[in-house]
Amino acid sequence: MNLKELYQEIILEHGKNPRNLGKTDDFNKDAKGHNPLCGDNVHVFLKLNGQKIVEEISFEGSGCAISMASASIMTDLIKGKNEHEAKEIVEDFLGMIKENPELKSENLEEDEKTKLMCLSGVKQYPMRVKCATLSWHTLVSAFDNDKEYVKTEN
Amino acid sequence: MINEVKKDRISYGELPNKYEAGTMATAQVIAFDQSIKFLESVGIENVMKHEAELVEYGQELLQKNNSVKLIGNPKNKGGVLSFTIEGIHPHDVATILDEDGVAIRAGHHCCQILHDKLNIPASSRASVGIYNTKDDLDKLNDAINNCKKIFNL
Repeated sequence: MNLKELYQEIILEHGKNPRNLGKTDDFNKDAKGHNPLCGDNVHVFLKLNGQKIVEEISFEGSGCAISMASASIMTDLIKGKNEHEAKEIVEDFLGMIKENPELKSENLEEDEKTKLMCLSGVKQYPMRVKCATLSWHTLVSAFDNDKEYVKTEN
Repeated sequence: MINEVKKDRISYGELPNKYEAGTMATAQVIAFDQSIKFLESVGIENVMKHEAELVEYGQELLQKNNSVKLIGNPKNKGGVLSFTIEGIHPHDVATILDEDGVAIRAGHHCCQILHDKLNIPASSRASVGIYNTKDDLDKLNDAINNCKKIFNL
């Protein structure tokens, strides 16, 4: 276990100053996510163009440093990607949090991968995995415009 | 409880019996008996006195700690210390404290309406019991300072 690995500077910085926080103007897809055990809430907004490319992405919500940083980094990386690429990145991220030591995605630049890898420390803290994954599950739900709440508990 | 078990099929008892299956909680019954004996040997008044002393000590300690905000200060306070740390979410607090060997509970503690009223998303809560000492509360305070260090506060 390594706290320094979990709370890296970049995580703390994104947690304190989340990027793309707020409601995107003219969003055409959105979904809410909720983690009932910790009370974390997230609302993801997407503006897709005709080619299904994410022109704008933002989120509203509150939660711990891990959940805010994860949502913030997610919006940073997903902006400009198309739906297919975005979903592959989500799969890759979830895989990394569970078991894969490396990211496979061909849709991310090296510096983007480095940024995403900063969240891999969460893997050592099973209790905190849900904090990191809530916004990503909610993103998928937004693409599918699923009006049901995403929950991390079933 | 079952009705009948064969190699290729099983049928269960009528309600509520079907949900009353399993071995009797023998270990728990014996442990509970021992717990009562232990508490009686110490004396419940002494347990309460010990907890009250610890909570008072903990309150004084945490009050002196900048950026720690204690929640609730009723008369006859029980053996708990609820608090928030400015700038750090309680779940982050719990994870960092855990690494320092201090186990607390974090979240809304099945009490969302109170947290809404207090206008906080969640809180941290340390509990003390007969097995705790003032030294444990010093460790809690040290671990809180470590949180602040990790979060550059």
